[in-house]
Amino acid sequence: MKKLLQISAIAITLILMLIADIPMMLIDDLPILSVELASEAEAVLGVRRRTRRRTAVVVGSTTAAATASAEASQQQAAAAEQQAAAQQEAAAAQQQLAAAQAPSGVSVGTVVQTLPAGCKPVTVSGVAYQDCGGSFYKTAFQGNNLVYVVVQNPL
Amino acid sequence: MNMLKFKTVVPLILLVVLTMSVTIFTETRAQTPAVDPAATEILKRMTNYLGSLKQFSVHTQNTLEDVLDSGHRIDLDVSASVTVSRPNKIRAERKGDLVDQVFYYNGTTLTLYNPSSNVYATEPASDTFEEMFIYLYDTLGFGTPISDLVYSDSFPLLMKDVIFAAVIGKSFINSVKCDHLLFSRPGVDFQVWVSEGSKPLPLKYVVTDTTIAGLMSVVTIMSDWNVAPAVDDDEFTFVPPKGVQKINFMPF
Repeated sequence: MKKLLQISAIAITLILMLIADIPMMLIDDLPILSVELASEAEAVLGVRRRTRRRTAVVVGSTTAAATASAEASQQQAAAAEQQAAAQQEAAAAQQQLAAAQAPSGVSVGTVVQTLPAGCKPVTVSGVAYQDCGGSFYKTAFQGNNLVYVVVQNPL
Repeated sequence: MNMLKFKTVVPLILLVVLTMSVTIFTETRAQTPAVDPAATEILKRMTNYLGSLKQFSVHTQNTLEDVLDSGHRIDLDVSASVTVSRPNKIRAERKGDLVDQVFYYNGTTLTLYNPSSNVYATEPASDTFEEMFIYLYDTLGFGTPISDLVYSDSFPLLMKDVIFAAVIGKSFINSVKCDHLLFSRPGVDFQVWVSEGSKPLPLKYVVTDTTIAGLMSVVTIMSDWNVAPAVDDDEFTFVPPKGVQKINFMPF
């Protein structure tokens, strides 16, 4: 009787192993397996998570065109994220500006995506600036995004 | 006795079946090459055809999958109209979320113009697409989604580091029958749909970042291919409209 139980146990184990094997074989026919496995591996290592800084992820890759596409769009994503959070950021930025500006203005070289409220355009020697309460901003392209850079008072 | 024999035989048979299945499975894996030559052959036909075109124009619809800080999944869209005149002229108009931009390159200078902000920036540029795109990316800090269409031979570029390639099957993009191909390299999966027939043009790209859990993608649908457009050289040179403000590119 003991032997019977042993044999049954072996049989069941083997059947289970076989069953477990079948889906693996099926999945393996699909080209996505390698990707799945890679992700799983990353999950195990704790690297697998959605990252907001996708630019950094891909910049390390090749210069290949497909990657370049992703990168190009990721820049836009970064910009879009900033835009999507525009209200919050603008409000926060303005508070910061107000704080920083109080005596001497925002530090030169600061780059912002949105101008603080109440800016006036001024032109000095043919160059256009935005006068935002005593801090002067110059418009520039950073990549293909339009940004505003804090400059020395040109007046 | 008979009973015992039967009980010994069953697991043995199962063991044999299991071993065989593993063997067959392993052999199938070994026989299937990771890079299917059928897929690379279609890609090669496409890049050769693109490279043979003196001029072309195409409309692209680019969709970028993104996730907001709030966790909501959104799409960002950009429509672009691209005109290319080989060897070294391109004009691309892009409109969409956050973008309203025209890019000009006439072989000597490149210009980025934002009509809605009424600003533009201009830089002298190399006289080849390849060097100009490298300058754009490395020095000015922006990549161009269509650059692989523009290169005279993008095959080596697209095949770089590819470890897996397959023909997924046939599909229809904008009612045109296509071969659906998949290429994979570490970190990036690239799908392309190439139209059948004598004009093997790409009609759809999907580039997926496989390094992130969400496997987010950039999808590009290409339509209105014109492989012999009426092109005037002037349209690749930016002429500043009255009142437009000249700005600079920041060092990146």
